[in-house]
Parts: sequence; C-alpha cells; structure tokens
Amino acid sequence: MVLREGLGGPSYGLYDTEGKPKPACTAYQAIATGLAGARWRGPWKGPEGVRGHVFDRAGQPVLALWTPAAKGKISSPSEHDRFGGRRADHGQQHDVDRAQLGPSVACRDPCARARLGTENGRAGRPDRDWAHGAGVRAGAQTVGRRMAIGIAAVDDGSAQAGPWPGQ
Amino acid sequence: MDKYGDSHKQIWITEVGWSLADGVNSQEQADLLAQTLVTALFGPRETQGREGFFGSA
Repeated sequence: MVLREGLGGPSYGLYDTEGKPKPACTAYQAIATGLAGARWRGPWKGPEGVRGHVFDRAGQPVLALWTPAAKGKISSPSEHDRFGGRRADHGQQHDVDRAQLGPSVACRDPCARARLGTENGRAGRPDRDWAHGAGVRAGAQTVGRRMAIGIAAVDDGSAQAGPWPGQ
Repeated sequence: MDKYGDSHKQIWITEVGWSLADGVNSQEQADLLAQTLVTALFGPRETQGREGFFGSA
C-alpha cells in the first residue's frame, strides 16, 4: 500500500505530500474497520443504480452501498424495533459522503426504510456506475433474530427491505 | 480465464491505483479504492484475492 503521494507515482497514495489523509484514507479506514471479520453473504441491488454487498459480521448483517449520486443523506428508520422494542434513531439524518463507508445506521425493523436522498437525483446505469466508481455511500447494519435486511430507498423511499440473501 | 480453463486459479492482486493525474479527483479515488476493497477483498469468494493484496489508491 502506497501511503504517501509521490511514492507510487504522481498523485497516488492515501496521504498527500504534507502528510494529510486524503479521502481514500478515510475510505480505507472505514472499510477495514467496518468489514473486519465480515463474511460475504450476497449482492444487493436497489433502484436508481444503488447497489452493494451484504456481509455477515459476528452474526449481524452489514450492508455496503453504492450510489451514483454525488452527495446524499441517509436517515435511520423511524419505526419501532420489531424484536427488542427499542426505537431507532428517529428521523436522524446522516451525511453520506462518498469518501466514507459510514456512519453506520441501525435499522432494527426489517420492514423499515432508510431514505437515501441525492443532491441531483441523477440516476446512472448500474454497470457504468460500477465501472467508474459511483462511490461507497454507507455501511448499514440491521439487528434482528432473523437477520432480515431493512435498507434502503432512494429519493422517494419507494424501495423497501429485502430478505436476507439465501433465506 | 474461463476460456482457457483457468477459472479455478486464484488471482493475486498485486497493485491497484488511480492517479489524480489521470483525471480522477480525490473523492473518486476514494470511491474506487473502497469499491475495490469491498469487492475483491471482502466480496464474493470467486472475486477475492485471498492470497494477497497490494494497493496504491
């Protein structure tokens, strides 16, 4: 891993020439932390070009999402926890910067929705966006005995939770 | 690899990187690194470079 610009060629590296972390450093750190010990369970594909992968980490699902939008927000669901009775972060908005995999959003109801708003609403073709790096948007977790996934929607919140892959 | 009967072989990813000098910006550079890590290192087994990974962002 080239850590600093210049060592691997022009403009490569996780840190700039002054030693400051670049967005790639943040992304790397978020992924290394968020997916440490995770096991891949299946792909996930949503509307508007949003796609990602579902992972299982210590029995809890973790979802890594991509979207073609330049910037956006993701809000945690406003429903009660179906299993434990705890309320999720009601309406709390989380900035979703394309340089980060986080913050993680707890979605405790498998039927809950998480809204992913976009700045310009642009929808791209998944293949193109995949090929050109549409951007990792968020790591999201769900908690539940059956580990059903309760993520994600784009713009109008029309997308709803899907089942845990393979179940 | 499928065509030549090498689909069973593992791939060692020796280097990945996207230079800012090639027209990507720092955010896109982060995106590409993140997608590569998620897909290749943590993703489906058939796409994993389990033996090693060397990246340059």
